[in-house]
Amino acid sequence: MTPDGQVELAAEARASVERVMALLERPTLGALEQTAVELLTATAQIQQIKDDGTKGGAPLKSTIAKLRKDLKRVELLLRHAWEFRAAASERALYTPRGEITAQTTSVTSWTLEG
Amino acid sequence: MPGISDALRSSANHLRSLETSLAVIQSNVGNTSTPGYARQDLVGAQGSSLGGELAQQSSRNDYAEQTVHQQNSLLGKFDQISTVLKVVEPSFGPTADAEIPKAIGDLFASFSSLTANPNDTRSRQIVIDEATQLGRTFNNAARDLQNSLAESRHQVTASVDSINRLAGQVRDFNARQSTNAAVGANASVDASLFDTLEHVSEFADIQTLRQSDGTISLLLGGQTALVVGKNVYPIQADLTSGPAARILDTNGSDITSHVTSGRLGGALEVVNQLLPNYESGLDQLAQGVADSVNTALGAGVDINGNPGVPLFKYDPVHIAASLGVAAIGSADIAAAAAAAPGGNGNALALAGLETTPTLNGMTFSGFYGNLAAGVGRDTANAVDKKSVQTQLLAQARAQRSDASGVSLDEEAIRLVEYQRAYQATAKLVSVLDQLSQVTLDMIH
Repeated sequence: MTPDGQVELAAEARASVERVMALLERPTLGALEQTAVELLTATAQIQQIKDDGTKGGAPLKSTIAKLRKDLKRVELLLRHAWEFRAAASERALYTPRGEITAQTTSVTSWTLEG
Repeated sequence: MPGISDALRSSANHLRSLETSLAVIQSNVGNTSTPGYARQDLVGAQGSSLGGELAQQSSRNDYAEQTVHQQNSLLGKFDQISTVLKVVEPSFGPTADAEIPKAIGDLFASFSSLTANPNDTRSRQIVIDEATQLGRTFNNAARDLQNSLAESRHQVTASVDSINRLAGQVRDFNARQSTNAAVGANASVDASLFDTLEHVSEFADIQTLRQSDGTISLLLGGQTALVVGKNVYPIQADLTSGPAARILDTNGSDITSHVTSGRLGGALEVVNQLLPNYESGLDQLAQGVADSVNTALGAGVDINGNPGVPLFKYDPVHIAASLGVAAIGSADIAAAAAAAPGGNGNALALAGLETTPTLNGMTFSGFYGNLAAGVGRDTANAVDKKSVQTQLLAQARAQRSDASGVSLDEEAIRLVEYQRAYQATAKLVSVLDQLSQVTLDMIH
């Protein structure tokens, strides 16, 4: 693969992550399934670049760094979506400060650590 | 045995149910684009007879509303901060071509030129011209900061006014609800109320409590009551009792620390922290340059052998804004050392100041670079956070919209299914993150 080809592939992987961000704005089960497909595609593309030996230099580094920044946002969207999903399914309670929270159960203790 | 009157009553019930159904459908369709509207559902009315009447019920989900308010508040905050910083940032360009470092460089270049021709009138005049230009550059940057500060202080007042006005609308709803319990059940009144609450959340972090009588209590920062029943407790902006802007509750107590989000929270952060820090840095730099040059000049002698006089003058309260050149002539520049009148000894010392670590162990250009980098970092952070919040708010609104149509019982049953899907996605994110990190590390 040429250096330009690697950069192009990394850009495609990043585009997949951007689509994931859009999907997570309405995180239904269907959207989550599509999210998994996009993430698997991006993972395969980055794996291909890694196996090929990174030759893309600074442009490749910049594209992958941006992809990782987008992934941080994906994590945030995913966490918020899950917290909402779990909390909305539970009984909502008010704290002494008047903030509405969900009654936590073992189900909601799940975190993004994977 | 059922008679004809039972049959008629049953038919009448069915007709009433049909009428209610049509009214609900009409309301839902007609209000598709109404801000704050929550879909109305048909439910069996309590106490109705078997197979009996249907009643209209809002599908509004309090948790979903509160989530939207939280995200809207944070978006308001970062939008406010990024809007101001995007105006301030150009005054603090990061490169040596930016106005302040260029003017500082030009002044010290004029001292260098003076070392070659210490008694040349034109070289001396250039020093005064460059010093004048440096003063103007500091004045302009300070003025831009002052303008942004004045605008942000105005935003504090405007946000407080908006919060009080909107709180008044919530109070009006409560007053109507208190006298007629059916008011809250009206879909359009409900839509208007929640549109108002969402609007308040743009200005501050709020909490809403639905009381048993159907009224809404509105709290600011979880601690300060804005509306309770038919009473509204307006807040005030105090911009005159000190340099910092303060927010006072209706009793005059300082509640500034309770306001951490929303446009008001953003404006307070800009007025009380960010802009004063930049002003302080600018003043420190202006004073550092002026005092260093004046001190060095005081150690030398002018063209006539008289002791050197200061080149710069300033008001110690507003240093950068007032920095200017003293009323001196070109002959008054002390280019010579006291021990060697007519020479260039002091001009050499003045030129050497450019590379001397004078401010917090940094050169003038290093100090400016640090200040500019801070402004740039704050701006980039605010813009980035605004972008993230825009997406989180869109997500919260979409989930609110979805939650209105979801049976919470069904949701609870499907939660395990959702949990698996979320966990799988999170694992994939983690794998991709680690893989991209390894790939990045391989690139030299």
